[in-house]
Amino acid sequence: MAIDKPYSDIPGTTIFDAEQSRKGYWLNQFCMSLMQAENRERFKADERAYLDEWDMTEDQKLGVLDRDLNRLISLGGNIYFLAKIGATDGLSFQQMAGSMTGMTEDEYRAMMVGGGRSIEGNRYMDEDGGDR
Amino acid sequence: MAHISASVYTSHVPAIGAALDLGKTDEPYWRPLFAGDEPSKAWMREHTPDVVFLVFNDHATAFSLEMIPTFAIGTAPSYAVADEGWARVRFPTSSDTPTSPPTSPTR
Repeated sequence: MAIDKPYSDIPGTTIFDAEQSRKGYWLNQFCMSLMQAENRERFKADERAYLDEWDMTEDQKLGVLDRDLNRLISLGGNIYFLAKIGATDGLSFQQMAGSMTGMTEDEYRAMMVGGGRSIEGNRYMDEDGGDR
Repeated sequence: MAHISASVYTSHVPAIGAALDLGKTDEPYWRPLFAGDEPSKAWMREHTPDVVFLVFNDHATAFSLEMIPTFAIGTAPSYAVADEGWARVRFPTSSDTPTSPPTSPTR
């Protein structure tokens, strides 16, 4: 019997639960390896070759190469680990988070200064109408 | 018996440490947040405790998915700030040896 996951109903949010954690184990371990300077150098020298040293799925490797954080989250990544990729690229956390919103960095910054994303319409799917 | 003199809190988003590290605290985006720290810093300078219990959540720095305890107590004589990938951290290493009051990171 499938586990009931009422939390899968939150717009734009993937909860990092046990299933996601198992799916993303090696992706996240790869990210942790980037905390060591020599690994960052090896990764930057040949990203594909470095990724091939890890037991990750092809989709996860492509997600890293594309720096597609949303896709990596859906493939089991967790932002605290994925942030190491952006750090390796010299990006700020704000730039990383902004890249996941479809907004420009300035738009994202303005939203955060303005109090963050509105809760209205973002509590659950179909909040704006329709049957639940 | 020990006397608990105070508990002091801060927001903990990862960007705060990076902003400190990169000298961005005076930028308009960050200024209001860091200005909010000033009363706490002033108070702590006046009320230096004998012992500090520092409680924080680990943003995937000391622990990886290999092992993540729900709670862990660190008792090492010192605790270095993690290199989260930026390799720029200039904060002093936490130590169990009393030193001068905290200062801004040296650049």
